[in-house]
Amino acid sequence: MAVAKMKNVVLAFPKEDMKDVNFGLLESKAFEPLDLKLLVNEEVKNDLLQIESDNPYQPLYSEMMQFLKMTEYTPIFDENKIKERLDIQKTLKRFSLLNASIKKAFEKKTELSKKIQDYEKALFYINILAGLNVELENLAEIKRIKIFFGRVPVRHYEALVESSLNVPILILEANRDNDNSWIFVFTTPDFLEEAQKILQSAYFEEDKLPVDFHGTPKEIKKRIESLIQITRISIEENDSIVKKVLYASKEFIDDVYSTVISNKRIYDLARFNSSTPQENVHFLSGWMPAKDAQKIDNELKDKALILKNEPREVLKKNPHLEVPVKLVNRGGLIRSFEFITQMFGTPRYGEIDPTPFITAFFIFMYGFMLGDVGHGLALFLFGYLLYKKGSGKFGVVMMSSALSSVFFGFMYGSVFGFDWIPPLWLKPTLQINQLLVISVYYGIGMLIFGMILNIVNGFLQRDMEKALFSAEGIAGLVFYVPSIYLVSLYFMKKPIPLSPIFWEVILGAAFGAMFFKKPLAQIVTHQKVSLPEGFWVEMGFGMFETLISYLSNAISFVRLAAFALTHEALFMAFWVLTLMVLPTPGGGIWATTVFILGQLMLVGLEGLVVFIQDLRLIYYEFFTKFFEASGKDFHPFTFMEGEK
Amino acid sequence: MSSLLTYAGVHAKIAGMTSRLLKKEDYEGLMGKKSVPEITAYLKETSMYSKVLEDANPEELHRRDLEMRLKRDLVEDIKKIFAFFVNSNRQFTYYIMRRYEVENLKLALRNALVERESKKNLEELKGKFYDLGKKALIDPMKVAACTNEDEILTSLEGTPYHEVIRNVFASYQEKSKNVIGKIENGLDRWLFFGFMKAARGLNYDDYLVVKTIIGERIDLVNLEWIIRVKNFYSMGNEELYNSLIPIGFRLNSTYSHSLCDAKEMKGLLNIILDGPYGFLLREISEKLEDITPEMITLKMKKYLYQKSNDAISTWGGFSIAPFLHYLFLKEYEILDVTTIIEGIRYSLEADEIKKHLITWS
Repeated sequence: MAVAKMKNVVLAFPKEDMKDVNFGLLESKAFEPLDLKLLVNEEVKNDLLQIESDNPYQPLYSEMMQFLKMTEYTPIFDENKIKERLDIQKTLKRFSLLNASIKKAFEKKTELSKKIQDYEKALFYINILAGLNVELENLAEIKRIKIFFGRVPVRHYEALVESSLNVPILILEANRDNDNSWIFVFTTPDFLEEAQKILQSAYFEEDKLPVDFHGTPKEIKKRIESLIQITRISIEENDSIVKKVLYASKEFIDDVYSTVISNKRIYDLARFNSSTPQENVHFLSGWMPAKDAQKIDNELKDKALILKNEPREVLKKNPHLEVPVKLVNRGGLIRSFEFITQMFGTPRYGEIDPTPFITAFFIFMYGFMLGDVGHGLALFLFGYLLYKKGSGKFGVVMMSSALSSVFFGFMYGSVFGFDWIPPLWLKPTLQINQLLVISVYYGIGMLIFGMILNIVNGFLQRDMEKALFSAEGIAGLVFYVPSIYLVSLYFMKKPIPLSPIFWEVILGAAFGAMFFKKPLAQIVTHQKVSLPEGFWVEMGFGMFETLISYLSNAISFVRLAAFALTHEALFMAFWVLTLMVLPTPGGGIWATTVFILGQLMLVGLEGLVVFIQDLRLIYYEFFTKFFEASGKDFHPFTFMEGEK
Repeated sequence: MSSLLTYAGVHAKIAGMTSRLLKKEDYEGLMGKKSVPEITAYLKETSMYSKVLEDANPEELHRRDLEMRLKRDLVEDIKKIFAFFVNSNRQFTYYIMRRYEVENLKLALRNALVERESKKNLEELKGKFYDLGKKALIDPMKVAACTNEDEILTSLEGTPYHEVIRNVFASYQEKSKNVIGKIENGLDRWLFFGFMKAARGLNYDDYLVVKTIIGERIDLVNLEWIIRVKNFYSMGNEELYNSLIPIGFRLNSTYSHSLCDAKEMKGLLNIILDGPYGFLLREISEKLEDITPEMITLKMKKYLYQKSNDAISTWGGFSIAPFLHYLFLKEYEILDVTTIIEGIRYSLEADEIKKHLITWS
């Protein structure tokens, strides 16, 4: 089993040791806290006290984070420094001083940025008015006509125009964008008050004309633009003041950053602590993989009393809990395939981790579908590049699949599509039937293996319906294997051994068991037999679906052979193209181009398609037989906040 | 063909949900109850509200909480229906959800701007907001906790409401005490405008359905507003015109103008009588003197209810109509249940309550 054994640990320790214990748990990087209140009964729950002490590192942490925010700097977290001692008050003071020294410059910077926004807004108005060739200060001094400039939301504009048809208001639209329409409103001084009411009812919003600027809009525009430039420069000046302070104390910040963060996390973990009413004994509970739990037990044995519970006991107390699952597989190869399992889902605790099996199946099927020495090597190179460039796991998957491709290349005798070497096993295009039959029987084998895994899972989880009577359980197996045997005999035109009645009885019994799996399981587990609502309809369709899927799942594996064939067929197509362009003038160059392009197409397209089909076979045909994938990932509490 | 494919799932889902609407017997049963807990217990037994009242204890559930739960059930229904829309129009679904978010926002802003002293009620407020889940753009609790206009604007940063509210604040600075009213009005208009604009993105048949059903609603809301203003408030004609929802179906601008310019109630009723909705007045009473604004309001609601009820037979099942049909029927149902609850609280007779029900004919 490649799912790590989990233990529920409950630690009890005196208040004074809180820091050491929490630190030990954090350092183990294998502790996922679980609220102790979920485990205990009502009575005890009321006696447990939630720890609500303040985090002593919080002020320092916020001060530091503020500094980092103002300077836009993120130090690197260094695990070697987490244990270093730190004087909270002194460091806090230093950060406060640092903050104070850059605060002014920072505020000035923000203020200037706001100013730029104001200028840009003014520039925007001026642009709206750019077509006017009047001096703006004159507009404000007109006596007999009142002028407003401002905006209304576009949706109110038409209503405003219509509503003011009969009153002395004239509206001129100057410009509009998505939300607003900028308008000039003209009215007479004696109608002023009512005009304002009407405008307000249309959500008119007066924008002050920038009258403190003199001249025509065009002149003002130039002036504002140079103001913006000046402001930009002073922003940069202030920015460099901030940066100077940062680099002057960079060493100090890098030094304390990790220590502060890790210490803060220790007290963050304390939030999960609870205590006795007297507050002198603390409790902390959580999930740990059994191995780490043992290690912690040894490390903290003189500091805390450690209780290790089996997940089963915990679930008995609170069936709503979910045991987190950590996959542990041996060997880099299998570990790299974990992500393929996890793309589908995490196994439930107590379920088999299918990663080792799919590793073998995946690699085998990839080569089977794309068997070519040359293309295999090209894909291997691609995988190696991926491995080096960072996506390590995917790289390993690619490389191992590519090696299988090379192996099958020798089997099929195919190098870049040419038959330069003799096939060691068979030649796909010549021995089509053989290949088809092999792929289908391989598929049947894989399906049977999936059923066996399902039976094992069923017994592990003590789910008798699943293990014994389901279509993927023993009943299914008893139905499936003889059926395959009989059908095979039929196709090989061989007589059926034993009497037909024997087979009919076996198949009939298995079928009946599958049909009545619910009541049968109830009998086996000593429950009261009761047919659920809609039992007959549901099971009728259910069995129909089951029979179809037995057939279709097996036939699905024909694609293994199909892709092995496609490989040669596609190669032939490109090869014919190459030969066609060869006799033309300059044919050599053309032929080379077509050939290389064709090879690239083949590697790229087939490499991808075969990968997808491979995944499909595993996810859809294989996993559906046994894999519930409803588990919860294990998320240990670590030093970095983001990782949780 | 395409509308058949698009709406097949929705149609089936809505047909199923529609069958759960309360029947006439249910209304009679509800009116026969003596107290709010009895009503809660009754509703808990109906298939429509059993889910939302599942964990409620009839004895303890307050009347307001009951009403709130009913409303929240509607939002849950809408979310459920949207799951069945194939290639639904994004803009359209967006505005349907915004309708309830605007309600949240109004409540939150009212708390932030008007009831500043009663900040301690913040916890109580929590249960009154619709839960829009992932479709929410704002956190109403955050808005409700704001103490001044700047904070409100900051909390709305990045949402479409920001521009609307900013506009109202800028337009009404220091001039009016009734800012919250203006905000509500502004939000409503933003909502209707956006909604109708989004409806234009639907296919043409659906657009016609929305235009008719929603358009009629807007018409009647505008009419009702004009009647109320003429009766109870003093407002300039132009202001009144500006405060109407600027989209309508049968009310064109000239006619709206004449409505707004009407001198008093009688003149107004005469203009309505000559207009597209005159038949509503005629159905209430032959004599104009007998008609009160409340009667007109109820009549309008009954008319709209009838229209929503007939929506499917008018427009066909494979369109947006069943959705609007269900939405409005359930809305009216909730309104009526609320009326009944209120009636029972003030111990009215069943016959008296019946007069105020929209769905009761």
